[in-house]
Amino acid sequence: MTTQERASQISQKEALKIVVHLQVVLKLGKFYEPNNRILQEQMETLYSSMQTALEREDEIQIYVSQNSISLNRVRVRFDFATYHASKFLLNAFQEREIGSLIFYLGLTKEELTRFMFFLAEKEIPKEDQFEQIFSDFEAASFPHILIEKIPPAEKVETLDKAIATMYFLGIYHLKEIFEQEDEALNLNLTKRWVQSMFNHLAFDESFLFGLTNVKNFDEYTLNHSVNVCLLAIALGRRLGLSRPELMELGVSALLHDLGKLEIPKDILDKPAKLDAGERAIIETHPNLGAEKLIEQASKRGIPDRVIQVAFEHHINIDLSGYPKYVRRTSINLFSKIVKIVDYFDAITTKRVYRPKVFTREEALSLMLEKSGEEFDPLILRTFAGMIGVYPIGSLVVLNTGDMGIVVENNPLASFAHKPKVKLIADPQGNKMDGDIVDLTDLDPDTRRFKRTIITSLDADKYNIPVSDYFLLRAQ
Amino acid sequence: MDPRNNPQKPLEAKGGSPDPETLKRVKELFLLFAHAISATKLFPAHHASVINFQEELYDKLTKFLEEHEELNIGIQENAFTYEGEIAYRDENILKSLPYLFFKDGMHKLTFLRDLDKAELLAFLDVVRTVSLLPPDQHDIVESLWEKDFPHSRYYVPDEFLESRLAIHQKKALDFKIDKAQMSQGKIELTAEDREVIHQKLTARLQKEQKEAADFASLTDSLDKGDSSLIESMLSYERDISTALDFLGLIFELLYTEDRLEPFKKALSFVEKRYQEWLKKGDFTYVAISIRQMEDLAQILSLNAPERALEVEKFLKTIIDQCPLEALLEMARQGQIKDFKSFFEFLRRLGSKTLSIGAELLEDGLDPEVRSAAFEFLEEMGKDHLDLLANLAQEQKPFITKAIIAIFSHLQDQKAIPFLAKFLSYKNKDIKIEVIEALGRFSDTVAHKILLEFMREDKDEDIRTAAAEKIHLSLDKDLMNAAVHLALAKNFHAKSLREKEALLKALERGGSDEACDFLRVLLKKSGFLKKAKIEESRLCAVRSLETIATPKAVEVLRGGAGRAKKKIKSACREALERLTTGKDAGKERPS
Ligand SMILES: [Fe+2]
Ligand SMILES: [Fe+2]
Repeated sequence: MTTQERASQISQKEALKIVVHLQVVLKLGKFYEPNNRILQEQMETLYSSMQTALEREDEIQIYVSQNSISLNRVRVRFDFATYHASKFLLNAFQEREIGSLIFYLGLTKEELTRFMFFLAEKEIPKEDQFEQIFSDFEAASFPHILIEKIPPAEKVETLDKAIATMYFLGIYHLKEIFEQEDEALNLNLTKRWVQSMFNHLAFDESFLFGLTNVKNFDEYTLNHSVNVCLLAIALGRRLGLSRPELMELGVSALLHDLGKLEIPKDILDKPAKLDAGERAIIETHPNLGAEKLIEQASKRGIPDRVIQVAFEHHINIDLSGYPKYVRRTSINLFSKIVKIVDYFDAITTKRVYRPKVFTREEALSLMLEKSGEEFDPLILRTFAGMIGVYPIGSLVVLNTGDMGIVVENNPLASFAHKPKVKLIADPQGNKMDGDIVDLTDLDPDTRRFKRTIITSLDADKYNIPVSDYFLLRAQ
Repeated sequence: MDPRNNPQKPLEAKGGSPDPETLKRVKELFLLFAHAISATKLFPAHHASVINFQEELYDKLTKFLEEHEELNIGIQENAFTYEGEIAYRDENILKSLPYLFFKDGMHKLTFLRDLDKAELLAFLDVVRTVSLLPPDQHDIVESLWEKDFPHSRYYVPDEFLESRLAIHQKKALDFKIDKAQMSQGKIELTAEDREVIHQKLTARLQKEQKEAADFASLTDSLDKGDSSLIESMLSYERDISTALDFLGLIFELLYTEDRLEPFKKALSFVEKRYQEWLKKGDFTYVAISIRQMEDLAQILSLNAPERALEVEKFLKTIIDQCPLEALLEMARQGQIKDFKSFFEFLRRLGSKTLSIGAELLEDGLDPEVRSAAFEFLEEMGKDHLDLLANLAQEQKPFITKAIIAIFSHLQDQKAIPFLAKFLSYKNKDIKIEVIEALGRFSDTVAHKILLEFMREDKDEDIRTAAAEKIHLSLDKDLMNAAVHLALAKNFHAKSLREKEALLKALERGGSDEACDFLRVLLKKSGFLKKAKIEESRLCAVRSLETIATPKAVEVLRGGAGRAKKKIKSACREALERLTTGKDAGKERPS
């Protein structure tokens, strides 16, 4: 099946191009007829880049493992712009239990087009996915294409429990960092935790976003910090930060509120409006945090950026906020990122002193109003794109009358209002442990969407434990 | 076990034990790997043995990978395994390679085909770096994760991290959800929410027609949109120096911290950083931190004198305790990257650093350093002429000449006595430089010193040089002294060059006095050889022609009438040239 001598090797750019176009065509194939102009253009690009590679390499093998895609043994590296392409393809392959696709020299455009429509239009069987698809594949006859099943070891298992465990362990770990000034407790473990979270995010961002609906576990500040960390890494990834940068960002986000440790609890949790004196005390937490980190900097190996974020995360982009700068004229990139996710997590969290919790949707629109004054517009835009119109965890009412919780965003901006939703109540309001439905699903007869979101509602108002729907997957 | 947590999970090794030939090759690979690592720890990167091991490892590993697609390595506490067989063993935990990977939880490591040399070298570098650190300060899994090498994978079971996180936590982790709860009860929407839903639903029905097929923007995942903006934002941010940015931040922190104790702690952190930079020779940051702290002291002095005092104390300490010897050594070893900042720093330390500047100048490193050192000495030296002069030594001609040049450049009359000091030097080059420097002064004292040289020095070259630079017009006494010198008995005996130089000095000095003297010279006879006297007189004629004032013409006429034949004709020819030449009729200004 493989040719031993290869005169040349596929370049990263070439591989990325093929994979991204494969994804686009697959996606478009779901909605368009084969004669659609946009689809044909994309198909043409895909075919010609594949043809170029085939003429040189004789075959193109696209191999999918846990969370990476390789093309003729070159692992395709995705950046933030192409991240969704990888997510989509991985998902598409895994749903169908396809482990690899092999195209051979001699492939025609007609055959490729037929195959892409075969994949796109096929309803995915509920069990023995690969076997069922494969028999249809055989029947349809694709002489220059081969599909192979995912090897058993590579088959996706339910790993949500491990992710959730790691999430909660993060809260406990942070508690130890906050409370112990043990010299032995350096950042190595923290970094490993951040790394683990990153790996999970790369694999299943939606589930982790779902977990950020867990609030006030153990202590507010700890849980909040873990959520801020997850959202910050995810956002940093979208922005295209490198792994070492993401690591620093993650640690910065995790420790951003370290200064709150020094603020008396009765002020932090005061159920009424703070007076000027109390407010002033709270507003020292960036200073306190930065100073505490400075003290530990050398023994714990704390990077400068971490100190910087602790100090700057309440300074607005127009330099209002606190503390006030005298000389500096801008805030650091990491601080800008953390500021956005910090604010988002804070105002969507119920607190004794916060009578009105913002729904995720409301929070986002409130923040967009402050774009350019409090928040960096470019980063906020990226964040909004990441979170989606109906952020994961939103309670929504569908046109069918069903109620559901948003569990996964649609990566395409124009489909941002069509996420995946777990149904939790029928039109009469009877609670149920319903299916997860994709709002881009079309009714095959009318070619119209089966379901559409009418509005989002405040889950707190109805005492709906949003995070439970995610944790349920981790039992 | 959570494979999802470990994207680098290698494919399972095939069952069964390896054939002896393959195992032998793998063993050899491990040995080479170990050698390559220990060589990089012992020798610099370009050392032959480092390169040899790396080359050999690369060649053999690539060959192996071409045949086997991948190399799966099992990791045990003291050993590397290949398909279940021990392939490398090292029991010494302190330097054991397997332990280095094992201790951070790695169970498997895989190299994949198409691994290129740069990647292998980068991998080796990670291992080397990690193995040089104390065990609690590194984590090889973390380092490899950050590198994200495309042709190597590793596998760490999730339990490793789970067992280490939150070990002090007493509470058992519990996030059990009652599944039954999910399908019990009813959600009763409020009337208000029902109204909202109703309204939106009716509005929706009307536009549904349009929306259903509106997929045109489906391709926007390809649209780069903000991505170029984001890229430029990132590259801008990445260009900002972390250290500088951090210094700026500490400045703000110190400014806002009005409690003295935390303020002092933060300040001591600045000092720590400062010392680190100083030690490493990062004078850009050293200089900036001093500048910033001076700035801070100044703004704090307005309304926070207590804190301002702390900053001043800090500044004084770092300046007082700066190890000058070490600085000089650092400079000599070429450890200083930014000489501009280095000298800026020396300026702040004060005049005691003059000697460092001098040493650097004398060492004659690259021209840029020398010119920076020169500038430094000039700037610092202008208020410390004595210290500067003390740095000059006869055995150090380079620095001595530089100091002379600085004195000359400064044109401060206070420098003259110091220059005079160099009269006693034997080094002719230095003396010539001193003479040139003195000649540039418009102060009489300088020229009196030159006259001393003309009169006293044993070396004709020195006397001549002094005569060439002296300005006799500055002072009547000076002129008289020079005339005396020329009228002295030994004048005719001097070399033509020296005589000419002296006469030229007189010419420059003033025409009247010169003419008087030359008249005497034309007449005067002596005991010397005729030829020598004649030579002096011919010089005198040339001088008179140069002077060309009416008085000079008159003296020449006198000469043309009375003198010996040869001189007479020289005078006539000079007169003729003066009256018929280009400049005929024009008299030169005196
Ligand atoms: Fe905060
Ligand atoms: Fe916060």
